Amino acid sequence: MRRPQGIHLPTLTGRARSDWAVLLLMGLVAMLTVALTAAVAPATERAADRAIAAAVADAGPRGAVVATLPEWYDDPRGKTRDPSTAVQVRQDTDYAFSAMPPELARVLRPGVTSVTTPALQLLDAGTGRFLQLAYVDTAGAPPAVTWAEGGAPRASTDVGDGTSGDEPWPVQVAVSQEVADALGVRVGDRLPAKDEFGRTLTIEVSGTFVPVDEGDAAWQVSPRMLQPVVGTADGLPFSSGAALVSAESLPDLRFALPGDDLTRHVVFTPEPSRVRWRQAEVLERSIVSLQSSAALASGEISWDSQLGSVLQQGRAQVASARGQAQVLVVGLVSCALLVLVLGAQLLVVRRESTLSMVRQRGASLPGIALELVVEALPVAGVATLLGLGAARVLGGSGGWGWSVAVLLVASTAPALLGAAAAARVGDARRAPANRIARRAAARSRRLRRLALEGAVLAAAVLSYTALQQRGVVEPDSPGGDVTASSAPVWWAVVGAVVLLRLLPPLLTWALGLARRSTGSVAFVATARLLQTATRVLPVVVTVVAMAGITLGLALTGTVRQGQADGALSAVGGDARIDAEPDDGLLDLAHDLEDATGVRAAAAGRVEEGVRVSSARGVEVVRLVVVDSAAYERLLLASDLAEAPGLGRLRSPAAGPAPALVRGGDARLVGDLDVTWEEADVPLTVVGTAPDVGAPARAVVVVDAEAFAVAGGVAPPNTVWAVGPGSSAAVAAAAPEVPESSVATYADELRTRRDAPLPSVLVALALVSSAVLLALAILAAVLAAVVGAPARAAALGRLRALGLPTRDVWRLLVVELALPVAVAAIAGSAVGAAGAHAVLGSLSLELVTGQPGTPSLVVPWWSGLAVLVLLAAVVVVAALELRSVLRRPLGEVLRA
Amino acid sequence: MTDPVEPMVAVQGLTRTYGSGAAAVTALHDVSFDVAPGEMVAVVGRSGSGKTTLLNLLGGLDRPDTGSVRIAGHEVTTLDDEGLSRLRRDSVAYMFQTFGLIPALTAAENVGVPLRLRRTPVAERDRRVELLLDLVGLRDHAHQRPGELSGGQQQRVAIARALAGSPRLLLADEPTGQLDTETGLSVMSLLRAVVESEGVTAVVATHDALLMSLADRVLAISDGRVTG
Ligand SMILES: Nc1ncnc2c1ncn2[C@@H]1O[C@H](COP(=O)(O)OP(=O)(O)OP(=O)(O)O)[C@@H](O)[C@H]1O
Ligand SMILES: [Mg+2]
Repeated sequence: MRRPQGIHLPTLTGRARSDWAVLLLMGLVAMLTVALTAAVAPATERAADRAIAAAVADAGPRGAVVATLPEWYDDPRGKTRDPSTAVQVRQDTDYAFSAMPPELARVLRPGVTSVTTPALQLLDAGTGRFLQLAYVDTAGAPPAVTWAEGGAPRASTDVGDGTSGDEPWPVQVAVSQEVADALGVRVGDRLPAKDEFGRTLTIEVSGTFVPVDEGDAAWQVSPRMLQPVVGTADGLPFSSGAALVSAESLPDLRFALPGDDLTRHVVFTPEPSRVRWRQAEVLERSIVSLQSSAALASGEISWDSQLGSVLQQGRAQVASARGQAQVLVVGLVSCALLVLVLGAQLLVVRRESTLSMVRQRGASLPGIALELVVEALPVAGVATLLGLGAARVLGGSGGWGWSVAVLLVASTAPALLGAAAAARVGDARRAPANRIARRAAARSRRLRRLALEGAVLAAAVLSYTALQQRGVVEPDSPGGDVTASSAPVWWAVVGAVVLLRLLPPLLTWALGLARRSTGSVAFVATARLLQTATRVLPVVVTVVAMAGITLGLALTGTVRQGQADGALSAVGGDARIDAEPDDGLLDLAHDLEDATGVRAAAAGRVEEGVRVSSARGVEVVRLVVVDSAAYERLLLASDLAEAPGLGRLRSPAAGPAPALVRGGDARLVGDLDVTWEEADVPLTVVGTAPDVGAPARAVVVVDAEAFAVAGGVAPPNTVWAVGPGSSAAVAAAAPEVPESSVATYADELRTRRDAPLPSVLVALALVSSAVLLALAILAAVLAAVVGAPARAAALGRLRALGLPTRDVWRLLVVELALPVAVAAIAGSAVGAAGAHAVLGSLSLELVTGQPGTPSLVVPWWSGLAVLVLLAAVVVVAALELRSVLRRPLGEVLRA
Repeated sequence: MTDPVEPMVAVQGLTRTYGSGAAAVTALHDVSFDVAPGEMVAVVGRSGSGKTTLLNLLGGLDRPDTGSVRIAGHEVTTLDDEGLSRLRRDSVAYMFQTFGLIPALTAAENVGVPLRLRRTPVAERDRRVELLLDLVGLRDHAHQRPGELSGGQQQRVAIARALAGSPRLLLADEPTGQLDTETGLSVMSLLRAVVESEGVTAVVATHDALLMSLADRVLAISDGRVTG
């Protein structure tokens, strides 16, 4: 009547009912893993979008796409004033827009069209007044202004038809109030002007205006429209500004000056929120093709943009973060899969007798396996669906790969292990009576184990090599796979294999030590451990989980420390004031030093883009002129940097100022000349500058007094302060400093912490560490439950021999906790070593924004994970003791 | 000092019922008997007759519903956990059908375990272990582990272990159940001889008629009652 291959549903449901807890646990693990892995991809993608947008926003004008239109053609037979010039300009703009690849056009704001002249010299009142003329048009409209006096420039048609060539042709312009003041011009002024080739025109001021929005991109065309420059050149005063030309006066400008004086640009600024990480690569390519397609010389539009490199940098950051996320996810999934296998093992152990009975009655192995799959598949399937659903609710799911792996393992592991257990029934090879056969079997077991260990080691070496060679690779980039990202997991498995090899000799040695003792607990416990502590799966799970936790926490710790170091270095202290150069800042620094909570303060001049020449060449540097004594105190009082050379900067009564340099490709050696306010100040290099900030250029540091002796006067424009009260003290002092701004370490740090990529990475590392800890605890519980029946019997026999209850408790704790403790500590060590080994390949500096690879920080509290795990195991031991003592010993021994 | 005529084991009105209500199984029903010091008693009966239940109650591995068990004049049924541990450590030894040796330990080390439980000094322990292994004829196998011994050898190690703590009462539940008849017989004769030489009282459960002949007395039970 029996169908040996058939599936008997009542048997199935009965079995599932008796093991519902294990099945439920496996389902939960599968669900959690699927949910997490499915949620990671969209979360990192959102962070990637925000990171790319932030990179584009931070780039500002550098991210713009600039079209330079071909030079206007001047008919050599003489030109006429063309009233439709503005319309033509508009059409050219439209043409430029349409010439762009659509994917690029989509992320750009409407272009700002400009026609600008060089700075024209005003001829009426002495030398030194320059005015640039600029026509600006954004989507058909001039920049919004309110008129302080007069009105918008108009056409100059009333002076003629434009054919007369004798008089310099008049062009009406409007100027901002600031430019009017700086250049001393008024509404109604007629200003003769010439370009550098002596070609002339007459500039008529039609009105003065106040901009409605100073931040309008239109003003970027010529910043001097709003901010004129007043200074001295070659000892003579000069002032320089820019004036606005309107659509009506543009034909006059076009007519007044030859085409080669009129530069025509269309500037397209990207809208950061429209730039998506997924399109970034396509955008990058289209910018490259745009730039290389046409040339100005051929009368076509020429294109120029840094957006490509901005996007490339952003993508590199995203790639690095995604790679790191992948490392964490691989660790998590591996551990979850191992726990699922452990759960399957528990199921099989609980059913060993049933399975062997079924097998003895003639059921085929495929039949047994099929039954077990039919039982496990619904659990795994529902768990996977729930996990995907949870991920969707949490914010979108993506990436099926891991879910499939989880589903596969959760549904087939019980079947495979079950079939293997059933196959062992009546397998004569298991314990052959014949000694030679037994030896042969032992040898083949040893060989199998060696082969397996060799395979693990090979995988570890392979993945590590992949990691070293190409770093963590983006999951879906070409050639991207999990080889490199699985390196830490493989090394953890290698660690577990080594531990499994080391444990027996170590325990044998310990047993030898205990042999000469009088008592029983240590001796019997060691003997039990020799038998139970080397079960492979629990050790591997614990080591892999703890290694993953340590790696994740090391990643978190390193990123956070890197952010802190970077923030401190970028600010140059706990707080900083930037102001206009003023000797008063020296007094401010003195006052700050006395403020409560300020450990040290120093004032200095920080100037970017200073030319320094040496015998080996010229370098543009950041020049830092400081009160070196105060600055040394500042560095010593903070974690900023070592400052061994600062003491050597003071001293000379005459001659070149001693200088410390950093960077500059060995060009900055020996004697240097700094171009400072039109003069050369001699310096001589005496050492290496402290490593503060992340300057794009080389840095030269000199002492203010020595710099003055050498002929340079540099009043400070910056004050740094360190100490817990610095922010408050600086904030209190800043309002008294005109045109100053304050930067604080706390703000800078917050900005860095809130940056999309680091925050999502740190969150993922923390979540995965927590889940790994839960998995490690679960694995310990499962392992305890798997071994519980055999342990109860063994302890029962010892109790029958007279082992007292308190010693039963000791044996239980040692047997359960010691292997977990050893594996957990080994896992932590492997994790820390792994973090150390892969740190460089993870490119964390791209995420922390530091100049170099951040130094590894393994937070002390990662050790807490071991303690939590052990506490959980002790609880398990206590529960097991209760259940062991509850049953009469006689009953335990019957089992 | 124990009165020489006082029995080593005195069982009075012992009843043990498993479960309750309709599913209740009375495994032992008002069982009473005595075992004199140095006597070897075979408890025989069909499977399910209550042999294991009886031995468990004698060794304090289980508690009766009613009745008393006195071993060397001490009431066992009222002992607390600690008292039972001490009883098993000092006075009553157990032998299991499945031998119950610790696989990681050698024969000698297994024999030493009860002595460790009593914290016997090392030198004395070594002496006693050697003596006992000699007694069971396993002197040459002292350093082999259970996995490297035959079933009969393992049970002989178990005999040595049971006697190591110098118990006054030895309880053995089908000690030959896992052995073939011939080996079983030799193990049983060894047990008989050793018990005699050590002056131990023994209660051995078995359903092998052949082994009964080696006992001083046979206690037959059937359906939880002593029938002879
Ligand atoms: N925990 C228990 N719950 C219910 N009934 C039990 C329990 N333990 C034993 N029994 C029943 O008590 C009766 C006596 O069992 P016991 O094990 O003492 O017999 P036994 O003579 O040792 O048998 P065997 O020769 O097979 O070992 C049997 O009917 C058995 O089914
Ligand atoms: Mg029995």
